[in-house]
Order: sequence, then C-alpha cells, then structure tokens
Amino acid sequence: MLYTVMPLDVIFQEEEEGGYRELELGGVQLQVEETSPGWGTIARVISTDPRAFLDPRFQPGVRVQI
Amino acid sequence: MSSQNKGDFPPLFKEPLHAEQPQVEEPQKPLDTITQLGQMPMPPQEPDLNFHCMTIVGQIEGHIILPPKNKTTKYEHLIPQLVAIAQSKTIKGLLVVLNTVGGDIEAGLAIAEMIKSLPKPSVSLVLGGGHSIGVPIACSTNYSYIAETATMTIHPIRLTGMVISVPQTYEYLEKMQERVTKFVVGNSGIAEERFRELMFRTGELVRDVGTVLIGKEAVAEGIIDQVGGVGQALNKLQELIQQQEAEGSEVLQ
Repeated sequence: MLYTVMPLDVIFQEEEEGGYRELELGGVQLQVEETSPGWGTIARVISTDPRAFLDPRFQPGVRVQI
Repeated sequence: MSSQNKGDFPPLFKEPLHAEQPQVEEPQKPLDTITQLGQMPMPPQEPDLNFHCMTIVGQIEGHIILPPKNKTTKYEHLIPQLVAIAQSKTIKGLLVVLNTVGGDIEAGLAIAEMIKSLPKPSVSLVLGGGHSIGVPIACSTNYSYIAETATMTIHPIRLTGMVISVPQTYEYLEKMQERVTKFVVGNSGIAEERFRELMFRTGELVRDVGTVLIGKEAVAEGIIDQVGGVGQALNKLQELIQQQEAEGSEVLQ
C-alpha cells in the first residue's frame, strides 16, 4: 500500500524496461546501466559510506565490466 | 640546481631520457585500470570518518517493485545497511538525508522503526521534500533538521482503483493511518489531534485534503526539531556521538 504525494497513474505508467543491474565491486554495491554486452556504466552507488561517493572508481558514468 | 627549476630549460641529454618518463605517465587515471584490466586499485582511506549517511530519495519501495522510471530507495538495501551500521565498531552515528515523495507504508515504517531503535545516535535532514511516509522517517532520528525551503506534505492515506465499499475498507484504512499517526506523534512534538487536523485540512492542496509545511512551519508544528542544513546536522551528530561516548565510559567505570 502506497502513501505518497505522487499520483498512482504517474508511478505505474507503461514504459519499456531500462537495463539496470545491481552488482558489487570492491565491496560497494552499485546500480549499473548495461550499455553493451559485458559492459555498463555506473548509474548509482548504493552505500551508506560517504567515502564510497568520493571514490573515483565509483563515480557515475564510469565504465565497468559486468 | 637551476635545471631543477621549472622555469629553466633542462640541458638536453644530460640525464637519461627515461628518468623523466614516469612523471608524464602519471596523469593516467586510476579509473582506467577498471576498464582496461578489470582491476580495482585501493581507494585512499579516511580513517577518521565515524558516521555513515543514508540517503532516502524518490519513492520508498517496499513489497511491490515499481516501474524502473521511478527513482526508488529499496527497503532490501536499507534494512541490511542499518543492521550493519548497528553492528559496526567504527561507525558511531548515522545521518539520514531525506528527499522523498513517500512510498510503501510498511517499508517506510520498517525503516523508521529500525532508525528509531538503532543503538547509535542519528540525525535526519529533510531537503527538498519529506512527504507522506517520509514524515515518520524524518521523526525517527534522535534529532531532526529541515532545510528552509524543504516541504513536508501531511495527508491521509488513500486508495485508488477498485475500492470495495464496505465499512471494513474504511476501518482498514483507518488502521493503516493510525500506525503512521502513532509513530509521528510518539517520536515528535506534535499532538495527535493537531496532526489529524493538518491531515484533513481542506483548501491547501489542489487535489487532496492535507497540509504542506514549509521549513520553519514543520518546526513550529513540532514535527521537526530545527531548521538547518548539512553543517548543523553533522555538528549535532558529532555532539550526540560525544555525548553517548561520555555516557558509555561512565557506565564502564
């Protein structure tokens, strides 16, 4: 059950799937957008450690092998 | 000596050429090792960092996976992170940064209960928005801040789609509402009657009943402790950490 200010038809509108994958690199969980087979770019860092966000290896847009 | 100065032109071939070479190669970023070799160099360590930061953004995603276009914060990420923070010996406190439009009630309440029962000091900061189920999460920390421009929408839980119009439906909604109200009232300075009054107010929201509180209004209503930003929130967190450490050492003696 949702309790939100967003209209439900906006939340559940039809759309094509985005190719996101979650994986762990160097102990940090990342959301990676698949760009080509075997490769992706970092879309989001899922961590509570502020240091992970300063780490040049995990900057958004960095290419990683998946 | 003078050949060491940057302004001077070094004499040709006085030193072997390759002696200077590694310095030129240096600007190669450490990133390249990931893409080229698949290796991970060690990051620079900052050992004095004693807190972690949890950012709760977009929709709070719970039992139902939302379509990928929604920005979501997932409870299956946050709950294990909170357990890890509770267990860690080096993490002494938690900063919770909120910019959320709300989301799943049970996920939101689960996160709020986890933060509330965390055996370490926590401080929340509402930036942009902390609406709907974001309100109990903002209240769940030991101390809460809201940015001057940030807003919090307080409105009733509602159903859309097929509604079975029997009295039990209303009772069920009322019970869900009760859980949120009880948590906010129990963990902030607002009275239950006042919270319900804000929730059912008409004329403020275009398509709904409820109230939008901006920055200091949320503080005046007692939902949030203080208007502030990241600097104040971090100072408060360090203050609470020191307080807890002082209490801890007293207990040991």
